[in-house]
Amino acid sequence: MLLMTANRPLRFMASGFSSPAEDFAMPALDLNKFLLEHPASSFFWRNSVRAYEKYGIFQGDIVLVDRSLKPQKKLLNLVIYENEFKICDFVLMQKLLKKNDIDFEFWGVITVVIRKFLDASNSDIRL
Amino acid sequence: MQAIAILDCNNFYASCERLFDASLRKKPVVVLSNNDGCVIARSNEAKAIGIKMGEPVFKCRDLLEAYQVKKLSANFPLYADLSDRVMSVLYDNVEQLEVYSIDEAFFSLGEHKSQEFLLLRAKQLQEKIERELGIAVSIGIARTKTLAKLANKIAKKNNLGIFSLCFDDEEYQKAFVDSVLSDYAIEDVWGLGFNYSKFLRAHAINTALDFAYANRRWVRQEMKVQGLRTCMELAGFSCLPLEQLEQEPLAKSIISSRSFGYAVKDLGLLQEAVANYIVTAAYKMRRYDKTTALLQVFLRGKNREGKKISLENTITLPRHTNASSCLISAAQKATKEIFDPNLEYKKAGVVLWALKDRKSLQLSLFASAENFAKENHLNKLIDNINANFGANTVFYGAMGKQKSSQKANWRAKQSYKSGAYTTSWFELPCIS
Repeated sequence: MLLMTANRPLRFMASGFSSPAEDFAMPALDLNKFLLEHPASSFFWRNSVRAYEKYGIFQGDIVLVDRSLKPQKKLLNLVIYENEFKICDFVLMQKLLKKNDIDFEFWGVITVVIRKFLDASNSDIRL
Repeated sequence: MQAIAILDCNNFYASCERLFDASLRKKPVVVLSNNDGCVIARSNEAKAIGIKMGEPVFKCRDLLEAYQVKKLSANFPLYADLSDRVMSVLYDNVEQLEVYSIDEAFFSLGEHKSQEFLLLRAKQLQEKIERELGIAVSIGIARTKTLAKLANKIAKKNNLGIFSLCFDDEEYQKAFVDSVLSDYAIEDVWGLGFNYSKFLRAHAINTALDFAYANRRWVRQEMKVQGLRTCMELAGFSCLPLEQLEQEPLAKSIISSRSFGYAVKDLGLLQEAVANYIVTAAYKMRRYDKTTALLQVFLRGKNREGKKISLENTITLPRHTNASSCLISAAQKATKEIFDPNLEYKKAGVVLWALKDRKSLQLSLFASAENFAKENHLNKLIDNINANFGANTVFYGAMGKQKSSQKANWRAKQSYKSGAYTTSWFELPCIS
């Protein structure tokens, strides 16, 4: 569903001596398996503001939001407030959910933050 | 007795859009066809103000403006991804899943289950999909597919979104189903087209119940075996088993065509459009590992008097191929041959006919196996790049500029398109 496979050729065959490590070889680490517990119900979002630096989520970061989880204590949630998507901590969310006079809705639990420090595909910066 | 269910996503396209755009909630929303021409999906609010399915935008412009209806161009990458997600949640939770369309699936709820169990199970599935994917669904349950489809139609209108025609007591079930069928117009029965419905009405068969009890021999005679199956299924005999497909079946031909955003008069632009359709069709063909040697191009347009004219040209290639480049040059030649400069073109398309398995190919006298393998390798490579880095990352010059080209005005109008929220890193939905 999501294209993010470990894009490395799996194994090479040795033409001379067969590798002593061959029997112990394991598939390379796969970020998809590590980060995406529920691929069908998880969605990527991009944070476009600086308001969430206090939570350790910076402008431009990508967050992964899982809709199959219950809101968790101490975790951050994606919520809808007045037609906009915002990040909200558990305590504040519990408070706002009780108010009837505002447009407030829980959307999903934030499980992962992805921050790319640079675009490594740029060939100018290669060694 | 087995219980068959069909799950149908309510207002699927509009629901997909709402998941990522909160301003669309509780507002009337319509999704427009590929050319922003017609309404192809409506939210409940849009249905309520009287916008019709399939209605051209120019006909309901006043309504759209008066109620400030939100218009969206069809965003098929988004709908396809969410459809996959719905189906994969179902696949993990039910048996014998048969995906019927982008937003519908049949499945089995098991045999010899109590009526309470069936309703509970349906409710669990409904809640799970609504919670995890934000899409409301309706579920119909019955002993046969045709009855399940009918139950689903009723489920869409009741408050629960679930309707079951399965009961523990068989006699009660029969009486209940009959009473529902007696209230169900023949036109709404799944599997009967417009013509058969009219035919049945003419023979005083007005409701689903009349048809269920019709003389089977007569039905068989007049409506072939398909008609008989529908009739038997309404009477509670399951004739259409759940079909689980390992892979989608491929028809014997592949078609790719679109209406243009504007009338096109220029041969170059027509050829550019045709090249794009070839690339789409050839990509699909390679996914099934097929090849073709028979290619058709068709053009639709109007002459100066406004008369609709349709042109077509079919070419046989010297050998079977799956390479976009060979097909593009053949298609462009075919276009040039039939091009009439006095016409204004509104639509074009290509068809790849007589598909054959690549592996079972007989190479002709002049085609070397090596060249063929090279060609296949190159095309697979391009397909991989485009799958990993986005459609048309690598494209043929014949397809014209791919982005915001002033000249390429044959491309369909999509003025209100939302982002590819789930399939492009560059179009992720935004937190603010």
